[in-house]
Amino acid sequence: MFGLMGKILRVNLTEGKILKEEIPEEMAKKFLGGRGLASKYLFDENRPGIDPLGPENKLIFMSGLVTGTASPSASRYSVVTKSPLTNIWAQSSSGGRWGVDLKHSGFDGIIFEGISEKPVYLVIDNEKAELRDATDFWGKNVSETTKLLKQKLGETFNVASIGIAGENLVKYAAIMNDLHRAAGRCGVGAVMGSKRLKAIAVRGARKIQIADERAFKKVADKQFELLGESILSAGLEAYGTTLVLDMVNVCGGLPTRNWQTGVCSFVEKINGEALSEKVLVRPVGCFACPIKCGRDSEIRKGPYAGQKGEGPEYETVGTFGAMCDISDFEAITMAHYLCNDYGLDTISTGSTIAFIMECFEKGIITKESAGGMEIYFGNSETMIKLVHKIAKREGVGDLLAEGTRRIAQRLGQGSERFAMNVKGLELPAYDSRGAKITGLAFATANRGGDHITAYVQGPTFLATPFLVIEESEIKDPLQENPEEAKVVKDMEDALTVFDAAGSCKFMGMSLDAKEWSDIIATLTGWEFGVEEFRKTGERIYNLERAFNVREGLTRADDTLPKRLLEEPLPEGPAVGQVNKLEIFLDPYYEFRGWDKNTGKPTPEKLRELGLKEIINQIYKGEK
Amino acid sequence: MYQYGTKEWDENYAKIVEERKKSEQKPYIVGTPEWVSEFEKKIQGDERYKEIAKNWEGSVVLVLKSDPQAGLDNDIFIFIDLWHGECHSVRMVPGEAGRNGDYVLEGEYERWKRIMKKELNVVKELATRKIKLVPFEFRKAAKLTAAAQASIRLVDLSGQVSDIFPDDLESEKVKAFKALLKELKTKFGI
Repeated sequence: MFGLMGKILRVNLTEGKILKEEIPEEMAKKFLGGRGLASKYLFDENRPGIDPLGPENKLIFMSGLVTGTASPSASRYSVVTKSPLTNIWAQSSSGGRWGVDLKHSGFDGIIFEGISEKPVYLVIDNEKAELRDATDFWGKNVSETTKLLKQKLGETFNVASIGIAGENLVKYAAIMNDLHRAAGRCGVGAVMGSKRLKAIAVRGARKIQIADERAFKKVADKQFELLGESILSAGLEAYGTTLVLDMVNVCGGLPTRNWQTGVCSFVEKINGEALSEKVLVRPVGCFACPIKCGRDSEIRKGPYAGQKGEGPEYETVGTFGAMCDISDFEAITMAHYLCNDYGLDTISTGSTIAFIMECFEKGIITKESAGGMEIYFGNSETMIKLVHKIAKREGVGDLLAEGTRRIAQRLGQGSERFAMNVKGLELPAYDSRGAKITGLAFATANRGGDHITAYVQGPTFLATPFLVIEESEIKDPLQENPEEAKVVKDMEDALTVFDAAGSCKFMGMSLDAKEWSDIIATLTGWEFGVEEFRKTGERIYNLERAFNVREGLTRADDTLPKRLLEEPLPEGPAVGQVNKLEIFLDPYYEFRGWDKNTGKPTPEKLRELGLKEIINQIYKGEK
Repeated sequence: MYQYGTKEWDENYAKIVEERKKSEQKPYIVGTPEWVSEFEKKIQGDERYKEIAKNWEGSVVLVLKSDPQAGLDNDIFIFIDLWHGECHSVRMVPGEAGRNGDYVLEGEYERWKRIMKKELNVVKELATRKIKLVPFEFRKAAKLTAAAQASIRLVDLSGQVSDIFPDDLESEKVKAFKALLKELKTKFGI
């Protein structure tokens, strides 16, 4: 097979058995790889209603279709499973070069099933795979695990692992690769921990077969050339993703003090220039990336001086900084390093801490119930202590490790209003009251409260259209224009293809669908034009939705926290704004071809997308 | 010809602007000195621009490439002197002076027209190199990205001044427009 290696590993951890399986080409054509292929396996193999942390849940790692090739930023892999945080479909993607090394080891992906009796790690070395005892590594964090495994196996192995947070089943634990890169969202690290799978070490030199090498190289070279003179690439390389902090803040949409306002008064202390001045060592990029938005960094002063790592990136600064009302950039950077080492999602961790700070402010949680801690907004020392406690599930950290939805259910007293999650997944650092269409994207994203499912923040907060869809312009971000619901649908579909291909979504800003279709067509030899590009994204997106419907999700779940729906922003350019989500929902379902009452993909839509075999599963007993 | 950068040039340029503002009717034709002057006032009076551009440092030069069919026999350079949300001045300048601006953005007349009419998004045009930063410098390109909202606000303001473009005019008026540009070229080197 061209593009893909054509094989996956199936690892039964209960029995300690490893099987090699071929990927049918027809399946690859329909779902490409990465998120698409993994979601297909998950849909087919996970029974609805199972415990995400139980043996029946599958944990699937899958490299993208173009991952490991000469296409720009072809570095990514996806982890797909059922989330212990949201109880629905989970996907988390990561860059670096682990996904490339997995593919070069001879396999596109790995399906883990069952639960190991004792801690284990998987070694894949040029098509040979073996499970080994990880007892010595259990209880260790990501940096130490990676170091020890490399000492044991050799420096040429690349490691993806969980830290203590994953072992302790923190509901938003991450899987880390290349030390600093995270498959962060949805608690995929907790699923790995539940299986007592500590790490996966990969190495390989297997070549990816390309259908038309000359044509592929020509297209890829052209893409590099286009990106080389893109102002967007330059902005990201110069400032990293923190580039956008000022841009979001001037729209009045930077969530501050747990979304009590959208204006952060100290933004100049935490923005891209502050990062460059205070901690930047040099920009770093993922495999084959022409942009280099990563930050190699070092804390140079204060109590954490001497600590080194990568980051922080926008979401960390947005959550640990503005949301927690903390302007101490060194402390924010330290929180980021800690999350990476413990294996924690920075968005959910920062958001959860901001939430508990507001609970403390309102007296919903007290010093006594917080184990003697005073959890004030703006207290950076407390914030750092809480990161440790969450990862170790110590004291109040045991409660915080459950995420905002479950904490609010436990604490009550109106805290649900400002538990800032959708479907249980903590929201990222963009206040949708400052750009209305982004509220629709939060409400409908398949994995829950998420920004990069549609990244409609690009054409709104950042005033930057995405070329990968024909029309992504939002005329007035503060108006609800029902017609613009189509932009969310189109962007969800297009960016799904990026996850399936294994490419960074930033590439969708500068290159269009034709350029991406050409990459896939020349790589695989398939007839793959713009129409196939769009249909494939839509097909995968509908399959994921069907997974969630099968788990019991309905239209009622496509909503936002009460704060966004009912509490007007108190100041700034978006003063007085709330999300009038209902204006968007019906048109969105119409554009999607979903039933407006139930939110289910209609049988007609599923047939149109070549998914008729799943109709019975989501209309069981109805038709 | 008046020498650009001298008091004489400044005074005579101001004079022609004032004269034409009295003699011409609003909305002014895009690309004329009186239109440029109105554009300056728009920016200077815009609170939103002041807020979103408070960190911006440096002049921006819009280069409208020559398009004889549209009435532009030579390139037009519109020099916008900006600093921390303030607009010090907007003027038509000679090419050499325009090229010395901090951020020189060059594009076909037709593209600028469509941007000013809000048919095209200026950030998208920059991202796809239809409007080019000349010369392309990494540091400047990065600053432009960070200032995407300010760029959009600037072109929005330009569009608010007038929607009368030279190629929309009747032939007699096109002749007059061409004659004006010729005069500006002869007297001011513009």
